[in-house]
Amino acid sequence: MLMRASWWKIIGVLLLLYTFSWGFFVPVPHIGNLYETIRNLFFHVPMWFTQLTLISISLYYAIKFLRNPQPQYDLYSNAFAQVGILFGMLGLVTGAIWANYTWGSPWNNDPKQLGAAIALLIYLAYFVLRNSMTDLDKRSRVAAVYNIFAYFIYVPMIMILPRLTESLHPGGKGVEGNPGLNGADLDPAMRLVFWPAVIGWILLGVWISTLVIRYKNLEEQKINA
Amino acid sequence: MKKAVLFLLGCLIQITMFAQDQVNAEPVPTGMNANGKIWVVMAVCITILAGLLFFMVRVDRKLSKLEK
Repeated sequence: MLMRASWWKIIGVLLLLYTFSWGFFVPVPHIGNLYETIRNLFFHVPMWFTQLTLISISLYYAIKFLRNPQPQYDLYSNAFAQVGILFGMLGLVTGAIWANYTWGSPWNNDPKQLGAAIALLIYLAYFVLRNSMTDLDKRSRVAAVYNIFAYFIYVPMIMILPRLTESLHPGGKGVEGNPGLNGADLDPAMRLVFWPAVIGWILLGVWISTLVIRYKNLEEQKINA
Repeated sequence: MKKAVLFLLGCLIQITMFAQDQVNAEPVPTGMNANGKIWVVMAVCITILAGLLFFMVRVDRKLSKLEK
């Protein structure tokens, strides 16, 4: 079973060790007032990649549950959403720290910050909704439907809307941010750390989710026993 | 000759004043801004580590409770 296999966890750990070592040594370009904080690209940005991956997996199981209502799918969907929100919150907090020293204040009402905050609140409502229902069958179905709704609000909130307005983040309209960090323009030396970092963080996120799934499974067994 | 020497001296004074202005304009970064703001990266890393560890400890506790 892939969940209990260790090879992908080892890959994840190796990639993260690489990120945390070479990420601090790799020569970085000098852009604006970023200085060394440009290295946050290896830590802050993968939080969002991981979150997006985890909630996408959560969406996949939500749809799977609606097509074939097995309690196992609902449990997966819930666990992945939970860990996804954890990574989203870490992304928001680390973003605020970074912003404090480069944009001058932790909260700048930047469209991406606002979008991410709203999107996180929408996902928090998912857990409120879940836990407010006692009927297990109804809870799973309503949660799955809400999950799909939340996902398709979330993606425009952090990926489309910030690109349509001016943003401090790279990639906004009339970029005031740091275009050097935009995908294709990213410094080649940094790209060699960035993408392994993204994969490493995603694997860690999936690993943590599988631990949550395993403990929730145990919980179920105990209740049923 | 005298005028030329005075002129050169004047130039030198200008240069020194300019150099001082530069020093005043850019204060030496301190605290979190020191060393090219590398401590900001450290703060970000510690935040992520703390967040993940906090979550892991909670899962671990719940698991221990289940195992009892």
